[in-house]
Amino acid sequence: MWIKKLKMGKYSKSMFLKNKITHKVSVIFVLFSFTIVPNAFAQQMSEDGVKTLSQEQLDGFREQAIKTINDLEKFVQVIANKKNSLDKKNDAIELALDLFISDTTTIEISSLSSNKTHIYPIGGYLARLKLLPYLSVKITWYKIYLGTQFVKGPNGYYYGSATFLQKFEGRSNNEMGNYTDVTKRHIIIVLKKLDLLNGDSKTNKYVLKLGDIKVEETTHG
Amino acid sequence: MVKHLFLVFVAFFIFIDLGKGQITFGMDSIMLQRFDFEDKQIAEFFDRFNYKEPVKFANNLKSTRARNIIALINLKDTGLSHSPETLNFLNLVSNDSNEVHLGFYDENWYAISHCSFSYLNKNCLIDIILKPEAGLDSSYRWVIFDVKSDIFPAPTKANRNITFINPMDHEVGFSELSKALIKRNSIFQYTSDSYRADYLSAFLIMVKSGILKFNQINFVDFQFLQVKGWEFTVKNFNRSDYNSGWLISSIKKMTETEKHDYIKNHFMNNL
Repeated sequence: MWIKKLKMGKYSKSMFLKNKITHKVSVIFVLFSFTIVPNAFAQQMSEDGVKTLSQEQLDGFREQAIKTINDLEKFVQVIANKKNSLDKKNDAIELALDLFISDTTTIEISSLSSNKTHIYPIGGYLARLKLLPYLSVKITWYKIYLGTQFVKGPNGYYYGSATFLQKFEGRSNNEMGNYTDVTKRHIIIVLKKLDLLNGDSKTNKYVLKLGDIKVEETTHG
Repeated sequence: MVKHLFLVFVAFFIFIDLGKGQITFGMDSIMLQRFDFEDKQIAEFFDRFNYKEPVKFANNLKSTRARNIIALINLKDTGLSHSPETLNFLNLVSNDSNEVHLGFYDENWYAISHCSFSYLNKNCLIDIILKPEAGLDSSYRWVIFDVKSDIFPAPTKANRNITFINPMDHEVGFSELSKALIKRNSIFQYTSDSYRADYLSAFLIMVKSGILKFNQINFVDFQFLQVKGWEFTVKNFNRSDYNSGWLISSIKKMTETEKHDYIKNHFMNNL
């Protein structure tokens, strides 16, 4: 079923999570359906240190970035939803972590109740999210602005950045009450170079991964 | 041209007021509306400065390169927005025939990361100056270029007649060196006339040894010296206004010789 939909390009992550498909298959799915940057784009990632993308490339790449961030959104909702089993939450954490470039990636967290922000490793943040006492969590991304420049790092990866607005709505039926905020965030977008073997020939692909996330501003939703 | 730019200024102020009047929704709506207008990233600052990304103005006001660059200035600072220097700068950079463009790969721009550290159990502020550095393979990375802080004061020049280790002190095992090291305060005065303090090395050793403990980065701003004859700084203005985000906070005339001296004096401790 899911293979058929994958071929048709209509398979959504939420449908996938609802169906009981193994974790291993899902990782492959994430990698190949959402995060590989199109060939035309990869070929144009020349040896230039700074690549300024055309509007056409940006539009294509924005789609990839939005899909990846949307995947993260869906995983976060599964992780934070109290109705879900621990196994399902842990699977979602693993899938979410796979969207990031490394386990040293950090996320800065803010709250309306404090002027201070806190920086957590992404794994620690997702583990904390799992324990939040909300009945349900809804996270909505309003807008995503993708910077036009991608700069090659010493490791051969290309680095860009995106800015987005995120609305967090946590529902609770206990004394904690409901919580809503809107946050402006910046996120590093990494194009990780992969060498793929096809018989005798080797081709380069770029896989889109997420990097550190910084919070810029938090207000009432 | 100057007159023309002044008119653009006036038009822009009207635009700002009209823009504010339109905001009547909740806070998230304000953020939502502001998102398209504000300058969200340094990459976006470059694109708007270079007129690769026309700024979206309210009331269908047509974008021009001059308006684009005016929108990149902190217009709340009337001293800056009305200064003749600002208008001269705008005249230069908005004229396409002058071909003034900014890019990540430019050599002469710096990030200043304003950090807080703990030093001897007290909070202290240290500015870490970073610059992009290109590798042989055309890759780039930000490198720490220098540090500035009150904990690294400029050393006072030695008074050769008062503070010195006498020329025969080696015969007594440098007893006066011991005194200088115990006294500590005037230790810099016992160095050679050619000595120049390298605070970056001191900073790196202090961080590595744990004497200096990092707390947080408070904010970051940028200094651009690549426009011929000019220097300007860019800061992040996080406010509920369309004129927000990464904006030019100061503009100064600076000759290339002055820039060279400025970098030497401010970023390299005269090294």
